[in-house]
Amino acid sequence: MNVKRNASPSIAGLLVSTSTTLIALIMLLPIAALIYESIASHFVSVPELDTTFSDLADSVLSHYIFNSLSIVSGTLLFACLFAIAPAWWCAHYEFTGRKVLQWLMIFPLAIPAYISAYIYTDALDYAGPIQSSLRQVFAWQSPQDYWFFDIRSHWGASLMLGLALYPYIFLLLRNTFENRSQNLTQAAQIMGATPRKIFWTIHLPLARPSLAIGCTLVAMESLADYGTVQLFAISTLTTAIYDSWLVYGSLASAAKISCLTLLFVITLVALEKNSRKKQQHFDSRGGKACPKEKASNIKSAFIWFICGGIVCLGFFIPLLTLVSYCFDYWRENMNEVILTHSQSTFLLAATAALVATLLAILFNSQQRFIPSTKNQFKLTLSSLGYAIPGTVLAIGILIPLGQLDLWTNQFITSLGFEKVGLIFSGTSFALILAFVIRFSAISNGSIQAAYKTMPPNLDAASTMLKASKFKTFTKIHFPIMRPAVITAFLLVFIECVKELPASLLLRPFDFETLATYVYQFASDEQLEHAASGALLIIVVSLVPILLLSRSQKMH
Amino acid sequence: MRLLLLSLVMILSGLAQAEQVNIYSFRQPFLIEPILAEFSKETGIKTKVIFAKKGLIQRLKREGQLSPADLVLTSDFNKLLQLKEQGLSQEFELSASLKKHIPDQFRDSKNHWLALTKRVRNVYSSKAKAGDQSNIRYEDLADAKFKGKICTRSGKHPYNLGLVASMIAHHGEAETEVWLKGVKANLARKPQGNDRAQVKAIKEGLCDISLGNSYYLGKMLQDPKQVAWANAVNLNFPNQQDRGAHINVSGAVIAKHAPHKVAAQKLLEFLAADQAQNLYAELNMEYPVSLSAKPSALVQSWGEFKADALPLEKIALYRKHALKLIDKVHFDL
Repeated sequence: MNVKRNASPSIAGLLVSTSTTLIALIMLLPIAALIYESIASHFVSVPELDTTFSDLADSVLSHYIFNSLSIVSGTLLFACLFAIAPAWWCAHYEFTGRKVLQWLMIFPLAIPAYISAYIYTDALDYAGPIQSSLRQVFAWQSPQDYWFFDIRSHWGASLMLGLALYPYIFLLLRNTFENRSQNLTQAAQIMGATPRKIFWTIHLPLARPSLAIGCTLVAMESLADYGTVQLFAISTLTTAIYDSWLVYGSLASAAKISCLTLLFVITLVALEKNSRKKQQHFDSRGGKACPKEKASNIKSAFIWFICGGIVCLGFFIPLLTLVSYCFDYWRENMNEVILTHSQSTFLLAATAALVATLLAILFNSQQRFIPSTKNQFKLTLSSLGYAIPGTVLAIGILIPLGQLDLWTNQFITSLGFEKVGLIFSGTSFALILAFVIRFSAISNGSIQAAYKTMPPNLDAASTMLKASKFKTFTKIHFPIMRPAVITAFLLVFIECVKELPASLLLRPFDFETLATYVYQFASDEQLEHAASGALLIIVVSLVPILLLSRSQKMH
Repeated sequence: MRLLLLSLVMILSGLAQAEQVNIYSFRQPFLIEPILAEFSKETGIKTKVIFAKKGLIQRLKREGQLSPADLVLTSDFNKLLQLKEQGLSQEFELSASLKKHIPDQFRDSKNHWLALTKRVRNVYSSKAKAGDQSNIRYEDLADAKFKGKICTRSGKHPYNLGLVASMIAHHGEAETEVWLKGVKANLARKPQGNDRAQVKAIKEGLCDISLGNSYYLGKMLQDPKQVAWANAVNLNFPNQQDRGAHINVSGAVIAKHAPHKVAAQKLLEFLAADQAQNLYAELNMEYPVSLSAKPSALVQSWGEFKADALPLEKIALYRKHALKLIDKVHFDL
């Protein structure tokens, strides 16, 4: 925190305000660089007119946009399906093994979507073991003889992404449901409302901010996905960005399409914000927490059946498949380099998560203390990075950092020293910056949700007692939102461990993260040979998930 | 700040270290590691590799004169020429041994790039269902008799792009578009997976014919689980009666601002010399470019073949046209 307790309020305020502005600008830098790239070509005369964008627009761009939209909506559908009911069950009912189930439901977060997608396409493809054995049993000869769910379709990709991403919604919703007000329920019960009606008219609408934040995260993540959709042979806007930049070689048109993607996200966020602008949800938590209803045996069994099924699909089946790969290709997998890679991954992710969490606290508490359009704007800016596909972000970062390196070296050599090389763009600095920019939306979301449910009269009371803002923060805000802070840190950590495209491009020499190590095999469709690496990704992400479940239990 | 200082120290200490070569590689490290290890053992020069399938050229461009890259290894010829075109490469020294062992066709006329291995774009056919296809031509893939019988990976993959560009070089754009539409109409499924996945699909009876590089067959024969796929197909060298099969190359350039140029040149020489060429042949089942190195026994058992003699530089001229055509006919959609 940049707030000094003894400094006079105006200086401290100025300090915070300047530093947040500065940070927001830095976080905006890659986007600014991209926008500049996308329009610069119109002003600078180039020898050969770059027609990539119009070529794409003429041929395939509309298909790509349609595919992107259908993947995003499909993923949202599946993610909500997997998250909402279980979140409610876990918060509302008491049943055998509820605590365990609560944990298990978050486990799929540990598996990167591209890994489970690989495993499922392998298993469910026409040439995979399931269809092959079906063909043997029923003596079918060709694909025309029977119908089977085509995994490499929009539905398949949405299902995979939904399975990998639903825990975001689950986590946020369960928290909100858990903290729901008992008074409202009782009032509704007195008025004779059925439990079903109470859920649909009171609890779900009250949980809308959490649901909206969760859905926005899922939507952005699925929009920016590259690995999974590529595996499913579905061309989306991300494909268009990759193609125009890396195949057509036109950064300008890649930047244009990225800006288009950004526009989608901003529209999405704005629509969502606008629709609940007039709503204000505060939870005046008086008295005890809402008691849990005891679930009947049949109900418990039903809950376990559904949730267990989701967890099996999202976690245990991929996990066991990886373990079996490990045994099948024992020799290739027993490799000590992966231990080094997991160490560096762990360190890198922890640093980035720490920075992202601190920034989220800074931005959100500023907006809390001094609510203004400007501060809200800064907050929104610092969350934009999530929507940029990793590769594009990597380029967006390389542009300004490369320039910075150039200047630094010019400066240093002008002083008569040796060149220092790429100290910004060629070190872990670039990677950490990328992670922070990309995943700040997650930490912001988590902290923001915590602030949203914190009644403002707490602040008023504190102000009346003449407590400084800093004191209000440390004595009141922080203790209340501690679980959210831990959640923010851990979620960002997990994402950093799994992140692939930006790591591929930005990592320094002789540096592999687990994800890039696994990818070099997966990209050649030989995930089997790096199954141990994939398992380590899961283990490294599971540790924070276990911690996460612990911190959540504290309510 | 601490991090910054730390990285500064790391870099400065890195500069003081012994001789080394920094490699930007489009090829997976596990494919080249054994060869690089041999190089380090022989010369004492360390190698550092960074691998990415995409984006390395763009990274190189952005890094400009500060780039740490010495050598760039690519897996197709388009990238070699792109590197040269964009001014990211520099001349290597054409030593007597390079001149003697590597044929002209596989070296840049201005000594900017050097091919290291050859790979043939083969046609795989189902032993059980496709009959004898040893006389097949790429042109035949558009023939209606193959309707619903062809599998391939994405049209935009460099290997397929190279093939389409060579079709344009030989037949012109209009004719290639008709051909590409024909192939698209014959596909058994949307382009997906890699070259091995197509062979697997043939084994499972999803299609009869697929496009794939030859070395994948060797790789599959070595894998206990994939050997059954490999045994289900015949390997055919297309266009043997006329211009010959389309070949692609993997290769290397010395980066424009290479900080360790001398070491990079040494590595280049090493990669083109017989020991490394034979290793490429044995480990990766590729065809060596050196006249004095031999393909592995397995690869030799696939027989002699005639290769398309059109210079790679001519084919590469049509790369963008090929890409546009593939989008235009919605090949991947």
